[in-house]
Amino acid sequence: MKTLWRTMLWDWRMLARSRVGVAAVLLTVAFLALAAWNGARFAGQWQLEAETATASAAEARTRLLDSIAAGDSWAAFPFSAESAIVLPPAPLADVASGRADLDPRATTAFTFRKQHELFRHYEIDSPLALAQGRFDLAFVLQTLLPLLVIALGYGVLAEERERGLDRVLAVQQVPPRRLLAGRLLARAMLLLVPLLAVFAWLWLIGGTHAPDTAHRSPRLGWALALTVGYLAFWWALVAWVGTWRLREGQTLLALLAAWVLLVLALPALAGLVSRELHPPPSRFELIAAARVQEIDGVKRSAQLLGDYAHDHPELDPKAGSNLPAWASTLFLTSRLVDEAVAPVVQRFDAALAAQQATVERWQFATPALMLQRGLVAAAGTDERRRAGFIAQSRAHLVEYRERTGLMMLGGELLDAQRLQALPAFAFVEPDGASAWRVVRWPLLVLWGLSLVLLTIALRRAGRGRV
Amino acid sequence: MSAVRAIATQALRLWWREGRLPAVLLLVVLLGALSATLSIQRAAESERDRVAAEATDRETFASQGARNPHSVAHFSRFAFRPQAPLAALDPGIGPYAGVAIWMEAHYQDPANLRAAEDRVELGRLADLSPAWLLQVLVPLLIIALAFDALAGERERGTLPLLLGGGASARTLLLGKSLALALVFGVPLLLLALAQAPAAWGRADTAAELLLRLAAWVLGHALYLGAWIASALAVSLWMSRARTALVLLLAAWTMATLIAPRLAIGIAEAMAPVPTAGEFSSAVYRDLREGIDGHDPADARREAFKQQVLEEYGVERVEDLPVSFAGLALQEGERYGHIVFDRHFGALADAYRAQERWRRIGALAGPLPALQQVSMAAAGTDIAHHVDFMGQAEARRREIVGMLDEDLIRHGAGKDMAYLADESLWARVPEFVYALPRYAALATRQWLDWLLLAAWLLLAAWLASRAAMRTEAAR
Repeated sequence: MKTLWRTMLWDWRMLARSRVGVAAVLLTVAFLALAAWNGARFAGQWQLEAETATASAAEARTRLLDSIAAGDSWAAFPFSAESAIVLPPAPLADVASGRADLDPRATTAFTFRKQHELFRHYEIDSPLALAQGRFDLAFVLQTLLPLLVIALGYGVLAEERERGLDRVLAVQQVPPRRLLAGRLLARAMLLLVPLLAVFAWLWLIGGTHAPDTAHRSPRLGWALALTVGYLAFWWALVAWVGTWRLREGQTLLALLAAWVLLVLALPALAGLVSRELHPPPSRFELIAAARVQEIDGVKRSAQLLGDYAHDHPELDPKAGSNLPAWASTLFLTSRLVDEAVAPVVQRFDAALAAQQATVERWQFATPALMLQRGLVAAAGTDERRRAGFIAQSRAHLVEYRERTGLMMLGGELLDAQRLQALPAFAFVEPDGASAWRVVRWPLLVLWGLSLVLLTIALRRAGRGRV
Repeated sequence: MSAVRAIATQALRLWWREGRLPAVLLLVVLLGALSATLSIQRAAESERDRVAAEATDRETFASQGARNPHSVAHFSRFAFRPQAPLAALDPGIGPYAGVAIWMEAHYQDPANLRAAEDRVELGRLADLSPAWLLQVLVPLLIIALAFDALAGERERGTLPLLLGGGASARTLLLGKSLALALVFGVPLLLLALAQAPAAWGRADTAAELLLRLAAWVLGHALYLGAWIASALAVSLWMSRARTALVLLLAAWTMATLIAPRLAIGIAEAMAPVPTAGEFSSAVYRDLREGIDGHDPADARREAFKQQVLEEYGVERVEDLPVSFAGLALQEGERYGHIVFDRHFGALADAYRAQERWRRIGALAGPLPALQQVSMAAAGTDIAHHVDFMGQAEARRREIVGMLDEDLIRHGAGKDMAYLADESLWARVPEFVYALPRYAALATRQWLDWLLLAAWLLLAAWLASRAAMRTEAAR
């Protein structure tokens, strides 16, 4: 242990002299700090957005009650009521923004709304910023830290060989295995210490957007375990390639080729394969089909009303006589459209779920994808939380629409008590166990792969094949 | 010239023998063919879906039967954006920008149907397209071939021999540049030419398509030229190939991975775009309370009623020879136009300001400038997106205005009970997207072209200085 420590100290001295170590540490700190700040900004904006949506809904409700109190008969119709649907920030939105900046995060449900149009008017964000992606921790951890690992580690062994230092060390009977382990550990610490500091900050100070620490703490632990496993893989790869007896430049090229393949090419290919295997149906087709149904509903409005009355014998046929005809048509048509386009909407959900399943099978082809999928699952910015939110939102819309529609056709008018009694939306956070089920295999494979690679490298080094 | 050719041939032979050239070519050909084929296929499928949906919607709209024109204004039409002519070459912001706008009464909708929402999120690092291949991967391949092109000669001790044999350092540079230009220039041209037949129908004229293709190729040629010159300059400047490689890789990481994301982060901070909630709250507040906050909708409506009664010389709405409901709707739309112009105008300004701020990334490398040039030529940039939204809004106003006008003229005394027949729907104008002329948009991009040219000149100057230094050291 003592000799290992001595090797590490010697390596740090060497790195300090070559200035590579200082530059790598400075870059790591700068990247991590910037990414953590960016992440906190994104999560804060999301929180503000959620609070604003909730406050706007409360204001709208007050305005509606004022109008009703002022005798505005129009305001008292149940179709005037709206229910806010808000997605709170994901537990680790500050670590990995995932697809959260793309997906809808708030809307309102009301009597005439259709399921496929539940989220509207949200496509305001800058397409340029969305296309470019965010400089968040997930990006730094997945993309930049492996490059820093390569920059710090490619010269280990190769450098000694080129300078003839390996022979000097052999004469001094320094075991190559200890040398390799000590130097790698010394260099790994340079990246690990700032990384641990950032995670400590995220755990102790960050996360004001997610007050429920029960959701956050274990997820932070998984994210850290994934990240350290991922970095361990890259160090192990560096060690293994270092034992190939290549020249320094060749070692660097080989590691870089591995980075391009594992970080850029394979994830891109996985995305491509998943889309080609499970293409979503056409959204154009969905719109056209929904509009055909809408006109059909308008033409058959009397029949639809008759059918509804038949299904609801408790309704007094004269009760809704003050109701404008278009109101009942819109309500009944939205139900009809939902029913008609449900198979197409399901095909969209199924295509995305199948793409996700394909990517999750492919993730084991590259550690970068394992880390990315693991981080977004732990963060709650993946397809699962989105699907949960959309399913809950649709269910709420149907319940809200049915309730207000029935009230409307039954001739009921809104007052404070009835408004209060209407269903409200509260997002039920998927339990941590579902995220853990996604994270556990990549975590296990990443650590397993790192250990295997490292063992091979150390054995090769021990046999003097360096 | 024959010396330059000879050096180029020798470099190609060396790279081939070392196995680097076959590996690079295999990668470029495989990824190029895959990205080109799939991009073309996806663009064709999307176009087919759009055309089919438009036909269905046209039929649905025309066969609504007798309805109140205002109900039809609510139903209205959809504006579907056709695929950009060279979207298969560079999808640009395409997957993140909507392609359909509902031209409904009372509200200007943002463009929806973003393709990226229907795919799994993979960190937006790589989207296999010809543009990604040329903009991100090819510079790395240039580095892989060029880092030791001259530093390697120096390390092997062959550089003095070459220089002593009569070849100047400048000739060496030109020879190696020619070799690299051949390796990467041919795939660039092939990728561009492969799109031409598929894109033929999507540009208005052949001249427009050729102009866009030429701009796209020229932009990428300048970009790859800058990388080739930089890589050779560094290789000639450094005494060790390894140092050249480390420097070039650091430059590539900074220029292609870090700077673009940092630049867009700065752009977002300097020119923030409101969130969807903030945007719609502000629009509805202005519609409700007036753009100055002191002109509520009810008061506006009452004032308008008095104005109409005065204009027609009657005392009651019931005595008007026209539909007051129609007039009020038309007035509401007129006020809406002011509100929408203000908010969507500010939104478009913020998008454009972000584009400008993003150029800050061009300090680290030419990629942001090239991306701008490439997306504009492909028709997948912010300017084309904003133009589509503008054209759809103009048509929305026309459609809603025409339907309100019919209600005003024929709905007196009946207002919302008035039903127009199907012949009116047939007269409602179609939305036909007119692709903006590239020449008009390109003039706004002089700075991007200048940045690209400046990077190329800077790299060429560095290479020339390195050559002079080598000559002086002989």
